[in-house]
Amino acid sequence: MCMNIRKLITGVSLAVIGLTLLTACPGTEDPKEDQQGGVVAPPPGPTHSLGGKIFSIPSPVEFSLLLKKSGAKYNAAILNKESKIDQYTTKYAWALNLGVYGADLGYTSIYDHSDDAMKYMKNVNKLLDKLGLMDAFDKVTLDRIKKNIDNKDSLLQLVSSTYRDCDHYLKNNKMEDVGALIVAGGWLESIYLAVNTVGKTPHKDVLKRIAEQKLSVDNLLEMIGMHTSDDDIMLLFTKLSEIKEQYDKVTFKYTFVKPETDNANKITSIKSITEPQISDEVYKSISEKITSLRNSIVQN
Amino acid sequence: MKKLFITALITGFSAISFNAKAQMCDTIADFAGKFFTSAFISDGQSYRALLVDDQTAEFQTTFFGGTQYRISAVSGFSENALVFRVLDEQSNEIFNSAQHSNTPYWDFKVASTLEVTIEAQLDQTYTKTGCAVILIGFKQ
Repeated sequence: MCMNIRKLITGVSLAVIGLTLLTACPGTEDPKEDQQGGVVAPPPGPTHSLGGKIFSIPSPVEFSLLLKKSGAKYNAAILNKESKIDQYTTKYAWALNLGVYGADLGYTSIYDHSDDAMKYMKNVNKLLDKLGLMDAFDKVTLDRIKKNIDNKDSLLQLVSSTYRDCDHYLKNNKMEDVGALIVAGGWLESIYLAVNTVGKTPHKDVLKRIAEQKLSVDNLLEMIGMHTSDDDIMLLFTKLSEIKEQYDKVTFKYTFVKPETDNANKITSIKSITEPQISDEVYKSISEKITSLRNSIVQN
Repeated sequence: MKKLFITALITGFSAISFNAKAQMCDTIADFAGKFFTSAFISDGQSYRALLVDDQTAEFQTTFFGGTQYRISAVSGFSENALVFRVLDEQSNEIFNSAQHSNTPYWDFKVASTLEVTIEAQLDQTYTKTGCAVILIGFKQ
């Protein structure tokens, strides 16, 4: 039973995280991008971007996996308290905190803390409902997920296909602003968990993971920047810009190494090295700004 | 009234044509998804483009160090109609599916985080036009 619950949590968690990721899909301002099917019409030039404007932001699940691999220990005390959900009363707060609770759900699931994960799953469901996003999951899909709860392979395949349904739902219902806020909340919580798990003297691997988020900040700002006609989102944009200013001081040294390909197993090992350079001062500033913004979102 | 009717008719045909294309891409995306085993978690997006002749579609993404990724790339319902290349930030070619019989999927084991560009082009011996779909997943 415990195993089943864990699988259920993982499945739902992936669906939620998928939902947050899906909102990081082609932007609406690109004239080539349609609003129904995500199909890009051929442009006049020989080259164009695939899927319109792509915002590549790592999912909280992926970031939690990276964090765990880096050796960071589980710390439930830093998660957003589940009891706070009743404090959130606006669409803006619901969307951002859906991202936050979704990241917490991913974090607890990756670290195999099923009891904690159950609490966050409930909050995620409540906020999905408040935002009207439950409609993205049709009854047939939900039934199939329930039936396949013991079959991890089928479940993950189902969850993957559900991602696309959510993508279309958000686009068709003109909810890109909500989507952008969910992604922002999820990303901020992920980085917040990282900086507060490791404290003032982070392990070099964790520090590296935080530094590598430089590109994600750029993408996040671009996505949030599309919706700044809303005053609350404009304020969030300003705060994120301050974080970007610090990230601009992070540098990377890239060294190309010839990759090795294993034809039999259809796998290429990429051996190039990227070394991020981040000073203690910049790390401290990023940590403080991330923590401050995250705390204002969860209303600490 | 006649003008209005013609406009409505054209709009209707365009919508039907568009929906048919979108549906076709949805079906191709499902086909591309068949190359994902349960070991891989989708990044949640399906990258799509309608390509004609020698057009190239491209996009940038980040591969994080210590992670194994799978790229699945197809056009139409042939497994080999799309050629895809993966390039690093200095445009060094990391992978070219044309050198592997236009394989519809390939895995990438990443030692250190890097930015990559993925380019996709139709193999015109198979088709001159089609919906190209690329999916990315990471291993648990």
